[in-house]
Amino acid sequence: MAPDTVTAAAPSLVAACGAGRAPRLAIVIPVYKHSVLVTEAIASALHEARLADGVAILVNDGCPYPETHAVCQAFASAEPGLVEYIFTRNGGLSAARNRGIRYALACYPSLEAVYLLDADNRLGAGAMRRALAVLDETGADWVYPNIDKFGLEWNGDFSAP
Amino acid sequence: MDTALIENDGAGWVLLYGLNFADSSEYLSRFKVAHLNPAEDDFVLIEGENGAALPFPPQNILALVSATAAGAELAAWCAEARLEIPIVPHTPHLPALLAAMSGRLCQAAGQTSQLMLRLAELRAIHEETQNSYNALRNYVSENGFAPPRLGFINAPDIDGGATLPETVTQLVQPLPVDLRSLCGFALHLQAPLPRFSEGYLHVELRAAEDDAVHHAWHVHYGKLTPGWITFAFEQAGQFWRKTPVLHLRFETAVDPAPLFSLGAPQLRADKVAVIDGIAGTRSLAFKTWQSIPGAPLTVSNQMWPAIRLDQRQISQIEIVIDEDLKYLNVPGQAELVGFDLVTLLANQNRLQVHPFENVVSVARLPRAIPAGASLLSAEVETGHENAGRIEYAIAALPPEDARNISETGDLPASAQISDWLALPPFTRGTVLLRLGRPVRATADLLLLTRLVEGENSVYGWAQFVRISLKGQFT
Repeated sequence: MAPDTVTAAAPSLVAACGAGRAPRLAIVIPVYKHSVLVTEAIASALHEARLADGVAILVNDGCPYPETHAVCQAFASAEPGLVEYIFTRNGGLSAARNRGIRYALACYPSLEAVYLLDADNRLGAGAMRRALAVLDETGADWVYPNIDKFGLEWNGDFSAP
Repeated sequence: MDTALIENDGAGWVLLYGLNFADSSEYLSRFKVAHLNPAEDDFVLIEGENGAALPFPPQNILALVSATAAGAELAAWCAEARLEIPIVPHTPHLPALLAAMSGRLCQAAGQTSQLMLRLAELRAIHEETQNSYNALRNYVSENGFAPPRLGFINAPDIDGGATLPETVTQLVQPLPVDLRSLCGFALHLQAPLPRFSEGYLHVELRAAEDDAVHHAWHVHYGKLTPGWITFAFEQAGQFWRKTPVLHLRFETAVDPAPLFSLGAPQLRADKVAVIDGIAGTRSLAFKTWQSIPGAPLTVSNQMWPAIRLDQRQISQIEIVIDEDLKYLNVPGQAELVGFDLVTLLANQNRLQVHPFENVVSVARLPRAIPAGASLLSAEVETGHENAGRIEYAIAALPPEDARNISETGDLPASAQISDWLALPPFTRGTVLLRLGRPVRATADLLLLTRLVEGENSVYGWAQFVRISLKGQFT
């Protein structure tokens, strides 16, 4: 997202969030039925938030699993100012992202960029710092990363004959 | 205006106040402050007079302190965001109390998040372990470090001459091993079949628990040689435990059926072979091999590979063109044209059906089409550059009508014949015959060639390269 688009939005507000930080980057993570993998997404976002002056915004998209709430709640409470957590009725991925962006803009007028991370993905170490550097150096409005696939490898046909 | 305080103690938990405080300084030293306004039937969080609105609260709110009538509405507003927090009245010592609670909860949240990170780490390690195991298993299987090993043998009772009856049609034999690691088995044929014996052996490996067919084989009697006959899988077993049961069906066109050996008399009734519905006293003689469950296997030339099964049990049979191929000329056709039109080129694995002027040349493969076949295909090619254009076709014919093929190659009405395919020399083509309905009984396969009008028969090296059948054979 273009940095100028982000910064145009919010005047300073809501002391409920932020713990006084003025991050440049918000990593918005919508979560729906990924209560296991989201931990790795949050952990990677947290690492990037520390490296790149960012904040992770967790958006529980009305996930029916209580574990999802528990995971998000724990990280938001354990990492104040680095992880924010909001809940919304299930509205789909785009609606959840929009809600997260809206929250981030309201809470952090200092924002220059937003990154959208899926709950079953994770960020490579230093990815956000490099992305911000590219934005700074090139004046580009947006930047996107390469991806690596991880997880169980396919090892042939295991279906019944 | 009702105002509220949103207070953050800097450690993560927020205190949300829903009342007007005359003096909030005691909180301001430790918490940041925002206000909560009723907006129609809703609330928004704002900062100061000109702050931006936020119509939903964050989740890390510890408590709502309310001394006003708006308390119930605030509770509903929180519930809308699934924010389950206590709503309590203000007391002088509340800040200290909440700060203490906040500290403990933050500590617990920190421990929980650390445990979750550790759990995520273990999950990733588990995933890597599974990947490594799969890679190792495939490598070991493909490179032969863990070849299939003999798991069980029920030796043939050769001295006792125990074999199946010549008229056997069906046999069921449970195997005393686990399907999970089974990767092949062998049956023992005690004596060679007479040349005139004709038919197909259908073998299925099923699970006793659900009768599901896991592997199947179809073997022409002409391919059965005395001794151990190995039936192999492309992949060992399954990942769950089941009891394998062999189902043999003998589709015998001309007696006798193969004389498979039986073992010594069995004491256990659940291990004996059931022959044509009657439990005997002996088991079939067999060997079984075991391997790593799920491991892919290499099937050698000395083994019968399992046919591939899909959900409908459609499978494919290839008719091997070699020295054992049984084929016949149409009686009188050789005399009519002056030479044998059909020549087996065994070293090239091809059958040549030479076309001739004014006749349809016919090679008959007696009973080559098993019951259940629905699609026949033949790859063809003319093997000499000086040949003219030649047309190819294939046909299915009930065996009893074979004598009604004329010397000039006219077929009886009962024949189902493909379209004719015209090809120049050295051009590979495929002739397909989709049967209107699967044949109910074994049928003859006819390979047909003729000259395109105006061409001559010189160097008419019309050759059938590969013949296969598809159908629901089991």
